[in-house]
Amino acid sequence: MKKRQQQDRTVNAAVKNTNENRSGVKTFKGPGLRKENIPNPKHKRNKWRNIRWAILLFFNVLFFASFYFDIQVLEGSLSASRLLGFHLIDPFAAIQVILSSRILMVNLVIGTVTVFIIYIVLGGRTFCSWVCPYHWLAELGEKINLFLKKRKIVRSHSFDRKFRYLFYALFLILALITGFTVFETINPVSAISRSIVYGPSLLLIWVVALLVFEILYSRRAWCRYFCPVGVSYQLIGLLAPLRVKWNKENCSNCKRCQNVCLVPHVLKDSVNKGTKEYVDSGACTRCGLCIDICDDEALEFSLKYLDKII
Amino acid sequence: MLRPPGALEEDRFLASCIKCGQCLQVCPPQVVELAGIGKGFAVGTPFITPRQGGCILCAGLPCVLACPTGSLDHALSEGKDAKMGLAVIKHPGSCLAINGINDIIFRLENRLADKANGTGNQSEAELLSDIAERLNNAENASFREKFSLTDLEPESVSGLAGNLSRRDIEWLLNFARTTEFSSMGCRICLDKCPIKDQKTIEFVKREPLLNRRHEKQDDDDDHEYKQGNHNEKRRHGHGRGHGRGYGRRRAHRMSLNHDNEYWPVVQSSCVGCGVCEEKCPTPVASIQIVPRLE
Ligand code: SF4
Ligand code: SF4
Ligand code: SF4
Ligand code: SF4
Ligand code: SF4
Repeated sequence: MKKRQQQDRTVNAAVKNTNENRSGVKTFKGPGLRKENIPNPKHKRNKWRNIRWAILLFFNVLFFASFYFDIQVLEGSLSASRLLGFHLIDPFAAIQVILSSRILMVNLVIGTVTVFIIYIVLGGRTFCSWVCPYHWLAELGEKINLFLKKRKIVRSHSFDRKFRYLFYALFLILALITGFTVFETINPVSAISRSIVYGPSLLLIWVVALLVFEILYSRRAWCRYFCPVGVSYQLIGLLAPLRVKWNKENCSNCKRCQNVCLVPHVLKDSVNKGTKEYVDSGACTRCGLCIDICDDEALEFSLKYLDKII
Repeated sequence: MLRPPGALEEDRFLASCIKCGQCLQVCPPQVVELAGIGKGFAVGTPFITPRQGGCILCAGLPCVLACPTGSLDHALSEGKDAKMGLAVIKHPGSCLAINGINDIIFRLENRLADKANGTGNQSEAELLSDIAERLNNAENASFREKFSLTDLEPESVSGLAGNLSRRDIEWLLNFARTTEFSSMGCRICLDKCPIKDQKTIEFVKREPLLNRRHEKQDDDDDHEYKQGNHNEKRRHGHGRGHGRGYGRRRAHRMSLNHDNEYWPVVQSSCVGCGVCEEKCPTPVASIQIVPRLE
């Protein structure tokens, strides 16, 4: 059942391709055209992460403040809300509700379509890394996990990432046959969001359990292999022009981008095979961690199809 | 669980509620809560605990309008058409109306006991404004004199709350015993019911169905006196102020008078909002909301 973790494989590959040349500088093999790492001195290591965390915390605080201080800007929680009166609905929750209740409510459709349009513009799984509070907690957990791994206290384990699609289908089928929004009962994203807005609930125990599992057993397991919420945004992301662009000329093949990525396989066609200029997979959360780490500046956010026109 | 107004029938409600809590956010009196983990599939769904706070069916039903999924059915546009549950007299034995006990006096007595024990969190503000509301002109004057108030506007009356000493409450209790309303049994559930255009609870004179809490000990004089009142009450019919005609001299004994005993009968116009359960002054609500069976 368990597969070798994609990332570990690429890391090993990177190590295998490592040569130390005569001057003692590490070089790597791959489709990138740079012979060695040439850091841009102006490169900011945590630029996108800082901007992203600020925005993520801003929106979650905005949810809280809209209720707590009654400023009414972003009312509701991440499963469904109104931004200045416009309905927004999480697509996966919406489909479950439609399947389980067999009611097609206008506001529900409007909210889902609005979210669809917003995330086509913003880049699909941007929801995951720029909005989802679980992602933020998991990023902190990931740091602990990597620290423990370095100390050889924990080992890495991985699962098949197809589980996410399986879960997506499974919970939709469950909604249809049971008449309950089964996943919404255990949805850690909405559980955290509700706890932020309406005060902590015992469901947070489940969230903590997930985090502990990620820290001690399998890095970023929930987002990587299981969470079906991100799958809807991933599908939207297939249509979103905002993507990470790989610049062959600058790439020194170091593969550090894949080391930091939640979904390292999405970079494969570019940094391993050199066949794609853009990271086309919807699974890319547009988190910018790869851009931050790449001081060769071979990666950047760009608008596919549109950058040529603009 | 008592759901906010307009909620679909429980199974369909559970199927459609997206657990967003927007109904909770917009509720002016903040009576909606989200269910905890113990409720299984209902975790995160909204409910109301009437004893802690009933739904006042506020104008425009903002909760219904806020609900994105139609779990709170947008077909409902007026509070009086809601069908949240149904009030029933769950504990007739303790109901003050059935026992012919005046609610103000009962509440003041309790307040006094609470004060003595240093416990209790009854809202003094509400108690005071309920008293103020029921005073006639003469009583109104002595009430104002006692607390040196110029008027009995809600703000001035509720301003007194929290500052009442034990003696003030003792005074209020003695004062209440002399008022005209003192002889009238409790009608709080009807008074506070947000459905105003229909009478949701009728107070019906009935032969007692329960073991009496008090036995008649009245002498013949009292008996005649009561008969007189009985007729008087017939003439006046039901409604506010039908305690008129009871001599103040005897007011403190009126709770022994079975003529004050009325049975609250909940009518089908009750929507089950739970305000009556919230406001019922007995230690355990005598009137409670039960699920409405169609
Ligand atoms: S490819 Fe880059 S932007 Fe996309 S998820 Fe991976 S690290 Fe984030
Ligand atoms: S109708 Fe009732 S539950 Fe709804 S917002 Fe008003 S008071 Fe709250
Ligand atoms: S607003 Fe509607 S969907 Fe949201 S929690 Fe309330 S009843 Fe459920
Ligand atoms: S409020 Fe309670 S005690 Fe008073 S009449 Fe109604 S049920 Fe009886
Ligand atoms: S009788 Fe009680 S539950 Fe029924 S409408 Fe009136 S206050 Fe609400």
